Amino acid sequence: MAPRNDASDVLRGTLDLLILRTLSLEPQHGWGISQRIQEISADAFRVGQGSLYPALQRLEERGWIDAEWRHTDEGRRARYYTLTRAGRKALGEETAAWRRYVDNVELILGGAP
Amino acid sequence: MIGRLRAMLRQLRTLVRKDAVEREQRAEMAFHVDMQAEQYLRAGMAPAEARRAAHVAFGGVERFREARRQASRVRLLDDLVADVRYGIRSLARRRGFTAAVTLTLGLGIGGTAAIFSVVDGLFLRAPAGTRDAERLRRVYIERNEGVVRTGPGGGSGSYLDYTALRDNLRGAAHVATDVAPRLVDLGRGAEAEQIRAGIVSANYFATLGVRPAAGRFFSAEEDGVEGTHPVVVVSHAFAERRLGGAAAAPGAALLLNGRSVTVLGVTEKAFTGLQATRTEAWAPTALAVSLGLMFEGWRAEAEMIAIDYVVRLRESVDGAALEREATGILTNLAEAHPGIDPTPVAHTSGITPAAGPGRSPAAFLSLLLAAVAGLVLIIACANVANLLLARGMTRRRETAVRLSLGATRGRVARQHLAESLVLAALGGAAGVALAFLGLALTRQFPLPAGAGRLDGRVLAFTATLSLATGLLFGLAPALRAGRVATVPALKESRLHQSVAAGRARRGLVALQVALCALLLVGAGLFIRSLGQVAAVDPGLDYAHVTRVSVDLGKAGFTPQEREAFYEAARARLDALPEVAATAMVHFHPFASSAYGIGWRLTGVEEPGFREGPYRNLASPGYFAAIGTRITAGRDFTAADRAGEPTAIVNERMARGLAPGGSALNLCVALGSQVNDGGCTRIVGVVEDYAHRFLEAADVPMIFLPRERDPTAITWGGPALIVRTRAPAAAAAAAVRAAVQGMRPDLPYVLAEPLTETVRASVLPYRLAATLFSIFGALALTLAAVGLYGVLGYFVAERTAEIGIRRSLGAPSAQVVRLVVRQGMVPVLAGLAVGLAAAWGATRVVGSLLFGVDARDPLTFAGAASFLLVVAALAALLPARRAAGVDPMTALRTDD
Repeated sequence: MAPRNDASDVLRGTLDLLILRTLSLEPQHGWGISQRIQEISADAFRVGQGSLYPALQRLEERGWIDAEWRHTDEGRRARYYTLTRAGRKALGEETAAWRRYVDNVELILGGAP
Repeated sequence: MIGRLRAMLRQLRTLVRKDAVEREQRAEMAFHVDMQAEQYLRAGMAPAEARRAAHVAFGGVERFREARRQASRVRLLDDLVADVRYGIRSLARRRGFTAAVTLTLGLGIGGTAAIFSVVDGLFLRAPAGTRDAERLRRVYIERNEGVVRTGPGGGSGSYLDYTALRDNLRGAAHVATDVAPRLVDLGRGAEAEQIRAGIVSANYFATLGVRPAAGRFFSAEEDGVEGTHPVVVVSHAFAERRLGGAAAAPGAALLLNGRSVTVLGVTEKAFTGLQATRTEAWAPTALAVSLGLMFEGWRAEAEMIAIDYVVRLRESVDGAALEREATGILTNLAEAHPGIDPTPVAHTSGITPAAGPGRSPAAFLSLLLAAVAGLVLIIACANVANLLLARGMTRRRETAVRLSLGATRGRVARQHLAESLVLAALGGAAGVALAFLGLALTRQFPLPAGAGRLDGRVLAFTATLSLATGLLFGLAPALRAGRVATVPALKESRLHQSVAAGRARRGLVALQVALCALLLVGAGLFIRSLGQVAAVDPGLDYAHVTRVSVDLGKAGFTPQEREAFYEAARARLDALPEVAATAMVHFHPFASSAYGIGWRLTGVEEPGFREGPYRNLASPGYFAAIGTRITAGRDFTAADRAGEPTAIVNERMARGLAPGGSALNLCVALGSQVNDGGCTRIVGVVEDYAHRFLEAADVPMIFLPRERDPTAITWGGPALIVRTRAPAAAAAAAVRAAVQGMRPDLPYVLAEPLTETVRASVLPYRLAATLFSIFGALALTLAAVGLYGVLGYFVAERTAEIGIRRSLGAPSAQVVRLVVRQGMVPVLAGLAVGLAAAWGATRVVGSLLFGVDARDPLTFAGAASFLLVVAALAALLPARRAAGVDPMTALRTDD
């Protein structure tokens, strides 16, 4: 478990992918998404609201996610985001693209002295 | 697909239901903070502490909203609306600044658009009603040798030149000719009036592309043998005014200069001739002699150069090729006519009234005014730029506050820009309103169709210029706003200010002052010139004098009948209570016409007169009637009708006849007496008076008794001179009515006060002086406001510094000097540049000046000191404010 102060902001450009991935599991509200990303990454990534909500809005406008007000298990009103069909498709493509990218970076780093 | 549609709907909703969206965002934010607080609570924090920490973790609310807006695609449009609203709010708070900019831009744009619209319509645009005017050309012929000469640039030509060009010029599809329109008498009796009529070749209208509104235009035959086809074409306006509409006009009979003619057709409404003054009728060249507008046989004389040409180029031909071809044709023609220049040169120009060597002083003056209006527009733009730059500086702190509250730099820059654009739009609107106002004023004058209408291109140009000014000079502070470092700007007092911005503003002041100096010198020259004109003493007291002229020859009166008529007219006028005296003269004062006379006096050499002597015919009482005095000898009497020939000379002539002595009672051989023998007794000497207004009165004159031989001069005149008890302007109508009413068959009776004749000569000088003064005052006001604004900001910026200086013991005079020096440096620099420019440029207006040198040192010095005084006043006001700064207040309040 990485120490808390080593946690870095999510790389620009990968946040959308992480949000889509999180939402592919189940609909979630903004707070939940940030918590989930932090948990899954074992606290390595920290998602500030300053980037999370603009990203959600961006994805919503792109039609990849949908939002509606629902009640949480504790009975509070929260804005839940759901992956749309277009979003699911985009997640597949983005994931594949990311993998290719990582492989290529790895190749280069692996070949370095 | 459906996702895309939904996304679009959502974007739309974000835009139209802004409040609802923001409510949702706040709710979502509150939820997030609550969840965070609960987490901290679970981790063991105290409730209040947990909430505070959650808020801190969330960050600024403003930042949250801003970030979301940034992420949104609709934000650009959304921001624009918000920015404009913000700009309007902020402008509404600073009404003085907004009013200054709006008014400045409005005056600049409105003035320029109005003046330029008139000038454009009058002089720069092809006359309305012509078609494909870009292929129409005027042809001018330059002759520098032989009996007729035109000077550089060429001028009119002869009818023979016309037929040669018409028959041989292959580069032109049409060659037509016209004679500059003249006033002709229309009708007889009470209905009589004078209208402007042109003489044109048959193909004139076809060449211009003008179409008939009714009837038809001339056939070649109707422009053939002189006097055989008395037909005319009239303008649409004339048909409506006199003939009951265009449709009713063809076939109508008119009486022009005593000759009855038939109306063939009516031109389309837009066409009022090629000149800036409206033409109402056109006659073929074959009718010019019958109408008394040309002398017998003019069409066959190579030396009779009085006509102009207009040609329509063929598609593939340009002006230069046409000039070469026409020059060749005219050279061939010259071989057959030994008297004229064997090497004529053809020139071409467009058909706008401002083009060509024949352009009028009015056209020149108007173009000059358009240029001046443009200068004022530049001054106005510089002023606005200055105000915007200064405003940008004072907003640094506001900008820094907004930045630290989470607004992005781009956003702040755009807000500055939006505000500038709102200002520019306000100024543009004011400009359009003022332009319409200005044009309403110009409609007081009878302008041809198309002139004085607000021109779309002109408006577009001025609007673009104002927008560009707003953008450019709104952008500079906007860009700087983007670079403002938050913390220093918040901390900084006005002690630290951008040096570069100050320099730009001072440069703009210098530019304004330079242009202002140029305009003031121009205004000064024209005012001095008008002063000289007004001071001209023509040597007679003419305010109560009206001249009455009737062209009785056209009405078929014999010389005897004519004399009887004038006799009766004088009797009738003398009976009127308002008439003080009547007299007859051949050439009335300021007639500009003159008729030379030869003389010989044994033992006296011709004393080198600049011009003259001229002869004139006068009745007894003429000199008293025009308000001049006989200084020696006597006036004519009835006895001069017969017996020994007598004459009265003016003083200039008297000095020539008897240098150092008296000319009275000399007997001088005059006119035919020089060869035939005999002499004329000088019975009187009269004061000199100017026979052309605005010209020296020192032209030698010889007056002969008119009753002795009324036909001694065969052309021009005579005129009945009426001296009224009231000023002539008030009495002329009654005089005219009295004479016109004498017989129902009289042609138009002209009764013109001499003040009116003079007014026409003075008008260009008065117009130039008035308009230059208006624009000069406008420029000066703008420049003064600009300087005041810059210094005002300077003082505001340096309040703290001034406070320190004052508290360290600087006397207030030193503070005043500091501020005034700051202001006067750019003023002096601008003044130097402006005066130098004026020194080089005023020669252009030399031809419009009277009695003043274009480099009149008095005017230059006057304009410079006037500008300096106004500038010093504009600088002194902020300086006094600075001197009044209380050191303690200045140091404490840093804003």
